[in-house]
Amino acid sequence: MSPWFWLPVLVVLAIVQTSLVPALQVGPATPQLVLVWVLCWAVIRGRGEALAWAIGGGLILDLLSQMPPGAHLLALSAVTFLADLGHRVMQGSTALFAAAAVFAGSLLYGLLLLATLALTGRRPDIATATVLGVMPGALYNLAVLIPVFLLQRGLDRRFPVSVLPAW
Amino acid sequence: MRATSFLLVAVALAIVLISVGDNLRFGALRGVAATVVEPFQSLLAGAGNGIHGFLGPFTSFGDTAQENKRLGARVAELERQLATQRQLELTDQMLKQSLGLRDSLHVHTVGATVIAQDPEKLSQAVTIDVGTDRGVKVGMSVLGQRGLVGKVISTQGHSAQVRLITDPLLPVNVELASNHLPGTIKVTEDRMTVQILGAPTDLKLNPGEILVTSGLGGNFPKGLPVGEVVKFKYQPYGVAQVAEVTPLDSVAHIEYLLVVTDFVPQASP
Repeated sequence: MSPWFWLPVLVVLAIVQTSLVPALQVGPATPQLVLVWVLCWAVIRGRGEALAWAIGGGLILDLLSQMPPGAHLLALSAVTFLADLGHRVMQGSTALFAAAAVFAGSLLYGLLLLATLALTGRRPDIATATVLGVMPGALYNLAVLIPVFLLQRGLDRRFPVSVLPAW
Repeated sequence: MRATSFLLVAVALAIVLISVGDNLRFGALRGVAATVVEPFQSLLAGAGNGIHGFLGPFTSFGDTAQENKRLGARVAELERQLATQRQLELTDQMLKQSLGLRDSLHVHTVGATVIAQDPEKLSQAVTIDVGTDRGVKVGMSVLGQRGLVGKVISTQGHSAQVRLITDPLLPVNVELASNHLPGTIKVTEDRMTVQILGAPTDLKLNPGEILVTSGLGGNFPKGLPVGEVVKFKYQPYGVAQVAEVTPLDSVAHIEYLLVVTDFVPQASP
C-alpha cells in the first residue's frame, strides 16, 4: 500500500497517542495506537508490508518522545517482524491470532523499550514497570484491537494484494 | 525475504540512533517535529481534558475515596502548619528586614498547559504549550501546584519539553527545610531517594519533612519546595544517609504548570 496513505495515518495516530490518549488512561494502562495499528496490519496482510509501517511509525514516535533515539524504531520493528512471521506460519489472519499477536507483541514491545532504557543508563525498575505499566497496557491494546481489526480487514479487501503468476 | 531486509535496515538504523543519536543532532529534529505537531497536540489535549473530566469519576472511584481520606488528613495537618507558619513568617520578616536579605522565593512565572506526554509514559517528560514566544528558555525550572516538578530541556516557538524530577537523568540538589542539611535527590529503579553526605550521627528525619532546592550547582533557584521524606532509617556505617522521598506534586497526573522565568541557569543541560 502506498506510503502516501499510511504515513499520514501513522502521524495522526502518533499525535493522538501523545496528546489525547493520556486522557483515556484507566488505572496505569494507556493504549498504544501505533503499535496496535502496525501489528494488526502485519497479521492481516503479512508479506513484510507492515515492516515499512513499523520503520515509519517507530521513527515518528522517536521524534515525539524523549526516550533514547531509536528505541521505538527497534522495538516496533522487532515485534512487527515476529507478527509478520506469524502470519506466514499460521497462513491466515483470524481475529484470535491478531489478539494473541497484539497481546504478546505489546509485552515484548514494552520489555524492549525498558531494556533500551536500561542499556542507556536510566535504570528503570523493570519488574514494577512490567506489572504496573506494560501488562495493563497490553490488555488495553486488546480492546483497541477490535475496531482496528475490523477497519483494516475492510482495507485489506478494498485494496487486495496483486499476485503475479508464477511464470 | 522482504521482511528480513526491512528488519535488518530497521535494526541497523536503530543501533546507530541509540549509539550516536544525540551526536547526530536528533534533538534538533525533535524540535522541528514538536513545532509541526504542536497546534494539533494543543487542540487534542484540550479535547482530552474534557474527556478526562467526563470519564474521571468512572475510571478513578478507588482513587477518589483514597484521595478524600488523604486530603482530610492533609487539611488538618495544614491548619496546624499554618498557625506555626504565621509565627515563623513574622520572625522571618523581621530577621530578613534586619539583615537586608531579599526574599529568595519571590519568582516570576508563566502559566502552561501540558499538551503531550511520552507515548508509553516510560520517559518522564511532557510537552507544554508555551515556548520562546513567552520567554521560556532551556534550563528554566517548572513548578506544579505544590513545588518543583521539572526543568525545561528544549524549546520551540510555542511549545517546550519538560523533563520531570522523576526522571533518573535529572538529579536535584536539595536541602532539608528544617536544618539546611544538603543532599541530592536521585531516581533509581523508579525509586526516589535523597542522599545526604556528611550527615550528623544524631540525624533524624521524620516522614513529611520537606526538601527544598539548595541552589548548589546553579541548576535551580534556591528554596523551591521539591518533595517530602517518606521513610528514613539511619545507617550507622553508611557513607551517605539515604531517605525515601516522594515529590510534592503527583507528576503522573499533571495538567497545568508554571515556568519560573526569572532564573536561568548559567550552564544549560
